[in-house]
Amino acid sequence: MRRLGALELDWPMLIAALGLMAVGLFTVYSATSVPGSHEGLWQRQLMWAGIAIFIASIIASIHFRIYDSLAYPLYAFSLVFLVAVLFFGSSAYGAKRWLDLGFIKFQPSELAKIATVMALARRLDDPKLDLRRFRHWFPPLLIALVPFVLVMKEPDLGTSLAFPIILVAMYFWAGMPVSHLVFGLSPVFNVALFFVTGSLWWFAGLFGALLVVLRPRAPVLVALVILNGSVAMVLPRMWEGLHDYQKRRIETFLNPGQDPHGSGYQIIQSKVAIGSGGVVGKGYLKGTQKALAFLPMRHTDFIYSVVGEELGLWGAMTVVILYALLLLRGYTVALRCRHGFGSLMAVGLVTALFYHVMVNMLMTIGWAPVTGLPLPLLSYGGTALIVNGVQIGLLQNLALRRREV
Amino acid sequence: MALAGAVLAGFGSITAGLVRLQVGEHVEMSRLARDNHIRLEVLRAPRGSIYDCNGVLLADSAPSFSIVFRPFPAESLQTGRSLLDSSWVARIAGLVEADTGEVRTAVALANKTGKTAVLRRNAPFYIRAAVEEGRDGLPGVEVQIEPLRRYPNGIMAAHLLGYAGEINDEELVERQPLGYNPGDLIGRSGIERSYEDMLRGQDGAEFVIVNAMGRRVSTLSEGPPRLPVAGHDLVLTLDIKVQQALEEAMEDVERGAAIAIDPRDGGVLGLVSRPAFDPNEFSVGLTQERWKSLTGGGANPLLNRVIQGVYPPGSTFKVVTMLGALRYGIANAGTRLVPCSGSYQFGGRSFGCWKREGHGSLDFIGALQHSCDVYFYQIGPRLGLARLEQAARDFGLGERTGIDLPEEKKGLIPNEAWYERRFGAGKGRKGTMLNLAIGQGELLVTPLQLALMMAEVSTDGRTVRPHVVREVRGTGPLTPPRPARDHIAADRGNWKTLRQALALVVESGTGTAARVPGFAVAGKTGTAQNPHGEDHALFVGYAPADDPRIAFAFVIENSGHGGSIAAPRAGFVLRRLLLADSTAVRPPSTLAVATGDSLGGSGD
Repeated sequence: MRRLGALELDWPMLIAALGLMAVGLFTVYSATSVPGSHEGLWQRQLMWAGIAIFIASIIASIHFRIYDSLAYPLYAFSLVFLVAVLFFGSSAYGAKRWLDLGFIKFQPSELAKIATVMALARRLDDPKLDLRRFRHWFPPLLIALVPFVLVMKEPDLGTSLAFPIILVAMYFWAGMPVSHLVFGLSPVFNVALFFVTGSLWWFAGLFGALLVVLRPRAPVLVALVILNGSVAMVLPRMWEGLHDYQKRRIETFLNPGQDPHGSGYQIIQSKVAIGSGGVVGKGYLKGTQKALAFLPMRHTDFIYSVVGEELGLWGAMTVVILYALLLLRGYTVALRCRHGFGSLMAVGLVTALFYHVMVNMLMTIGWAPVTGLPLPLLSYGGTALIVNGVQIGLLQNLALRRREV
Repeated sequence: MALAGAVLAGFGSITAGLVRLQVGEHVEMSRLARDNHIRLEVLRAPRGSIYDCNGVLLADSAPSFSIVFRPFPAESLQTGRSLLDSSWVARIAGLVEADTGEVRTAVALANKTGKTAVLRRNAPFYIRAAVEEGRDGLPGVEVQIEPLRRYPNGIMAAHLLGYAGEINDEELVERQPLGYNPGDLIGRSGIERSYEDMLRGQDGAEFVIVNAMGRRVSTLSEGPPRLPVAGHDLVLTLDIKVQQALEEAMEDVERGAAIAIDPRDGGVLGLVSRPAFDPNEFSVGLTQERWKSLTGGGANPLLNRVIQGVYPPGSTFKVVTMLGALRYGIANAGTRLVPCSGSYQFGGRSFGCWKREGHGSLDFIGALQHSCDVYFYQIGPRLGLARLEQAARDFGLGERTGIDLPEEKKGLIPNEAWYERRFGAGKGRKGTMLNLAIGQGELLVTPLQLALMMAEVSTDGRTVRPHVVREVRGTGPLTPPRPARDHIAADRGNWKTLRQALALVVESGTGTAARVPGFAVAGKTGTAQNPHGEDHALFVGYAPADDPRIAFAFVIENSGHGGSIAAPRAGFVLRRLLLADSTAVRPPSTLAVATGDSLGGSGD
């Protein structure tokens, strides 16, 4: 066995992560510098950053094969927490997401994300698995579905959607042909197009075109048509059968930005903050608190708005580039890793980060609904920072041992 | 490589968004940030209106003016604090004529939550004028237009319509996921409550630009306002002509109830409960004292006695006893029993007939016609508790009728098990059967149950489910709800005998005060003994007897005999409805109905 050297770390990824943490610390300081509430939060964030780095280095030093062998127990353990939070969770904003363990408030969905990635990686690493065969899709599907449903019940739609997205990316990485992937996702497109356009003809057209181009085999074709046909049959009837107030509930659920009393307002304030920053920004600590005083979550979910306002397009783009570097290096780790489990785990971890970054940033520029997901490494919050540390630690772990089979 | 492509595409779109905001819209956004603030204002949706079956308006929402306080934007909080000293609060309270403490609480809450507080609803003109005049010295105080719930006919049909009031804190916690917000109206009783989901509209919203003092400058061009969507209108089965007649008939009643339903489909034609309340009071908001004076004391005016008042049925229950006896072959139309001598000896006790001098020998029809207690005393033990209970349950007594109004009471039809729980096993039960047969004892029914019973007698036992709403506009006609029970099984001959006896009650029996010239009316009087005071007077029936279009029940609490107190009121209502000439029956009423045209000719 080779001795591990510090030189084997993925330095660009590490620098990007530390850079983002630094930007986060400075921005938390700025966002909470208004006299009044939250003063001094940056000191706690600094402490959390230290803890996160410490935990990351421990995580990185344990051989990833140990994670491989612990994947299923860890997954089961995380599900227990997800169930527990539904019963004993403390609620905030009408959702039960946190488990109060006394010394720390802990969000089980974060643990579940990492554990699910590991369990999926272990399952998909099975050499007997052939994703071209329909029935081999199901065990991984089930692994992702259980935490998805449990998190959805909290309810935390934003976080729960990370599970299917991770699953799709890992399916792809494990060798599922793109055409199969497209067909497997067709009911999702079916539902999505129905809610966007209000009619099923759009989907029927697209689906027909896909069938012509990809020409699936007869049994697959029949299964697909039956699956989508039944979705298409049931969907409008279910919709018509609902009461007005139930429809309204679903609409607000799917598009919380429509809620005129809360989140629509935050998005507009966020856009004003970013837009008024211009190219060069208003200067560090000089964001007009006018606009920001209206932004209730400016040091957590809407921290990127503060970056945009004070540091302008340059600052915002710097953050974008740091994230791009982090994620691209992450996928590179996956590409270079010769160990099946390790490579798959890397893809899952990076995709989870990618999802969080995109959902949060799109929200702050007004292109996505308010979902309550923090920005990884930047937003204030102990649990999130430690979880991000674990994710980076695992990726570095794989980078350190990239030559091992 | 696909995943890297996804990353680049994702961040490409973020970059595009940033460039659009920070370069393309920079000037506009800077302007918004520099001198203005954006505020969200709720555009309140009006509740659906309520109409009677002829289209006469019973409830609607009209624009009204509220005096509101809007919290200051954060950075002018300093200015705000210096202005909001106690003399300011006192001044505002004086201006809008509200309690200083309440104003202080409302303003404090508004500043904490950032949401607008209503200081005074439905402000009269002089208050609005004073606020507008002094607006420069009154930062944050504004006049706002909001829909106000109106009931143009005041107390008329108040218990059926119910009332809507401002949502309270507990309801808010429970209903926030459904989109309720502070200041929203919510149905509290009657139709307003049972059809809350239909009546409630969907609030809209618009973003407005306000200056540093919190005053509205203009609306934000970006993002069009979401227009409010009005709630669904309801059309009732209620007929204002019937309602008006019932209201007048019950005008001088202190405590009581009257209900009329259509026996053909169970639709409620009119519903009166006394004492009544004016639902308009609730729209504006009640003071604490007013609420206490309404709910405290003996006669709660908010109680809908038609569905929530439970009364002993008295002799009206003889309808049940008679049909039971006929069905089980205990007696037939011509059966004669021991003649009535004014009392009946049973188990060493004497049971009196209401007519001290006695009825003599009567057949079954005559016994009901004259409400002879002695005859029914003899029926009771022969029928027995189980069969009597069955006969009562077949009419739906002892169960909720399932009417679409909230908080209906069940009443009570005792059975063997009930008596054993209550008095212990095997206690003297025979006297009980005598009392039950004439509707005394532990029986309890609601006026609605009695009217429904008569409706079903009038149609040979065809059951219907009583209901008040005929149509929810915009969702198509409602399919009439299915009755909760099967049709009542009895021979046609038995029904005929019963109906013949009921018609004779009004023609020449105890209910002659309900006669209508030229029409046959069927009915039954009742006088329910009441341990707490005077007897309750009851009269139930249907008309015309040969082609029933209305079934009704009247209960007048603590007033005396059914034949002399309740039956004349039914007669008044029926004459008003059945005779084309609706005048000259009673002195003109003081009850005014806003939409008088609908009352002109009662052609039916």
